[in-house]
Amino acid sequence: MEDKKWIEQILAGDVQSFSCLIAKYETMVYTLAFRLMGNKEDAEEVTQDAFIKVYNALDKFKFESKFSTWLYRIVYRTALTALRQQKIFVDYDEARPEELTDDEMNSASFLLERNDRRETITQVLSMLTPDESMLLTLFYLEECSIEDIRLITELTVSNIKVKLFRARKHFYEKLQQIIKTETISLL
Amino acid sequence: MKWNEQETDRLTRSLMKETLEKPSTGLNNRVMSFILKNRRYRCVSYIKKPVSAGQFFLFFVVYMLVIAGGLLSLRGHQENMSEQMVFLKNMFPLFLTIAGGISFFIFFGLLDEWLRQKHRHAHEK
Repeated sequence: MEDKKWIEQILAGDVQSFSCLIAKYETMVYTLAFRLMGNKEDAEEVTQDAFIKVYNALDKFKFESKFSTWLYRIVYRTALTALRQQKIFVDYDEARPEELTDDEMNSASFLLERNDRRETITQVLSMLTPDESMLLTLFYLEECSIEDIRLITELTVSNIKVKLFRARKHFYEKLQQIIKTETISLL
Repeated sequence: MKWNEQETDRLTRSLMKETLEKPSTGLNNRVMSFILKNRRYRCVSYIKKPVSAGQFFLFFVVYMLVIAGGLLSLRGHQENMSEQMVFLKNMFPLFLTIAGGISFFIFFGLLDEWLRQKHRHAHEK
């Protein structure tokens, strides 16, 4: 609701209200850009470009979707342009990966009690492909629905579900690898 | 322990919770200064039209009627209609002066405000 109020104020000439929109979304926009670009400098540039594009196209936003969905779609497109790619998602393969094992899940659950879990998870995310870490961020961190992700990425619903499942499997596999390596090095 | 889909989702959410990346502190200012330099949406201000001649005449007539009515009600209802009309005829120059004065005062007040708005709008452009 406050997004709508700010947008109306911006369109009426109160440019400073755009600063409120930036303050609300900059962390999530930057996180998405960082997942896609893989480094801070490029992520910052994509974030900046995306916000400027959003400002210039604000009169075209008709509130048909959530403002955040529209914004993330622009971030995604801006990152693709910066990467000089048409798409980051590999071709659709319907085959689901294996289910998560109890070992993978148990070792991950122990991580919740550790103070350095943020560093470990960030390391795991950097080991995943950009599309996987972006999907996990949108679904588990920003809590976007599958429909929101469909609007952002233009993938089909079934494609998103399979890719999300695969991304989660890879996430726990890498996490288990890191934890095993740490345990071995301690011994 | 056996993990179902909901528990897996909950654990993944908990693990992902602290993975937000923070942009540099000046990002908001940089974007805003770029936008302010290249403003796209200008302040929308509407300038009301000044009072038209018809409206001005209407104000004048309404004030005349209000003053006449006020004076008649002060005199009471003892007199008949022809005496009241004679009274109004005698007082007509006074009504004209007062109603004219008030109408012109309002008219110039509105005109002044309109010119000020027009000047401010031209200055913003």
